[in-house]
Amino acid sequence: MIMILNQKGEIMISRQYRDDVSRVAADSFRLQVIAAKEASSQPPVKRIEDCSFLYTRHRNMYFVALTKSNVNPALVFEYLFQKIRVLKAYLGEEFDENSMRNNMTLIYELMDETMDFGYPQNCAVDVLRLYINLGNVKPQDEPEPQQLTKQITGAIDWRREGIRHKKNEVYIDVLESVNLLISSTGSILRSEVTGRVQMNTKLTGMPECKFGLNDKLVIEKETAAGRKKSGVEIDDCTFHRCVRLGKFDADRTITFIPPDGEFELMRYRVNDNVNLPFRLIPAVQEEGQTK
Amino acid sequence: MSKYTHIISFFYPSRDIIRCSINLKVIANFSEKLFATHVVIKVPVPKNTSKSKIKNSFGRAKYEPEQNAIVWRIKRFPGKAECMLSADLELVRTVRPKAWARPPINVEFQVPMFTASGVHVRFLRVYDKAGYHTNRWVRYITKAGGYQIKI
Repeated sequence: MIMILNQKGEIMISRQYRDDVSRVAADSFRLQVIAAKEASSQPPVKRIEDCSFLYTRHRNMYFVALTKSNVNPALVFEYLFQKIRVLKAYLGEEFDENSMRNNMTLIYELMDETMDFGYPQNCAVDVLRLYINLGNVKPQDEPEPQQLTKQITGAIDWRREGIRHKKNEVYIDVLESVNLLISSTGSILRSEVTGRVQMNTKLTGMPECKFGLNDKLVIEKETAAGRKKSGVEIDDCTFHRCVRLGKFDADRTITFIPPDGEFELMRYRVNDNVNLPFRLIPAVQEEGQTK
Repeated sequence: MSKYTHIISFFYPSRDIIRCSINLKVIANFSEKLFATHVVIKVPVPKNTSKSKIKNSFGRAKYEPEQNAIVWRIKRFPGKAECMLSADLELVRTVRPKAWARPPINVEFQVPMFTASGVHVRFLRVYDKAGYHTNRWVRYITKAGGYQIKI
């Protein structure tokens, strides 16, 4: 069961997907979690009697998932985060209790569409927008039912077919954040770079993209073929779910059919050979310390 | 009594003032074609700092008591450039003197078109049935996460 509670612990929205938990459970959540102060510092999972409460907050609202079975908590939290993301897309970044109350029917529709019998379904905003709208807004072109089924059940739920752009453009942003800690003697205690590749794609149709970084493992393979270049050793990376992981595992090529618009293609971490942009040489002298 | 001159000598309580000097050299370790923006260097100073005399080669540096630090802001820091800051501080002796914890110097910056990891995009190929041409733009930016130097 998924519930959305306000700050006082009153149920704003609740949707029961199975019969294992009843609405009465909200009372025990209110008493044991919301009434107990500083809920934010408490763990996000609470077990009361034989029911598990997994929750997260958006502004002053609690998004709670209740279950009696042994679920995968990572899955549940991912669903709750997706749910908030979807609601943000529909109601605005800073949606609150009021905007929730004004859009009850829409939210129930979204609850039904994103989850079935306790199993998460399609949570992609772009696709949900095709058939769930705020009443007055009608979709421009009604999608063919056949195409719709393909999208709901198909593998590529992040992109709909028939997208057209006059100009085909891709913007790539590589954003890095460098962490450094140097001791007072000048030795490096910690240096690390975390990076993100942010993309904005405006492409027609269902294009297949291949993306290449100067990843050491790939470069080494090419060096064997006669070219000499040094690559960067990427320690860790995660991808947007559109990237074919099987292909990456096999030969480290990054191939994907991108979603339309902005998305984060990948995140990575580099620990070795960090180019530190600034070098600081401090000297501090304290006098008159002796009595 | 008049035979004797009584000399009472004492130290003027100069111990009430403690001096502390900080010298800092900053070197930009990237190509001279590039520059960093929004550079903020926070040099911590003891809480009981009463006076400060700061000299710096470029940018603006100011003692900000609410931050317990000298905050040095440089809007545009060219690659390979070097700059200096020296500060002479006067500290007041407190009732119960505590050793200064010496928190680290913290640096914030942004360097466009630079990657600290050395990562760059080699290619992006787009294949579609229609076989159209795609325009691509790549931008890079490196920011400071926690960039700290202990003193």
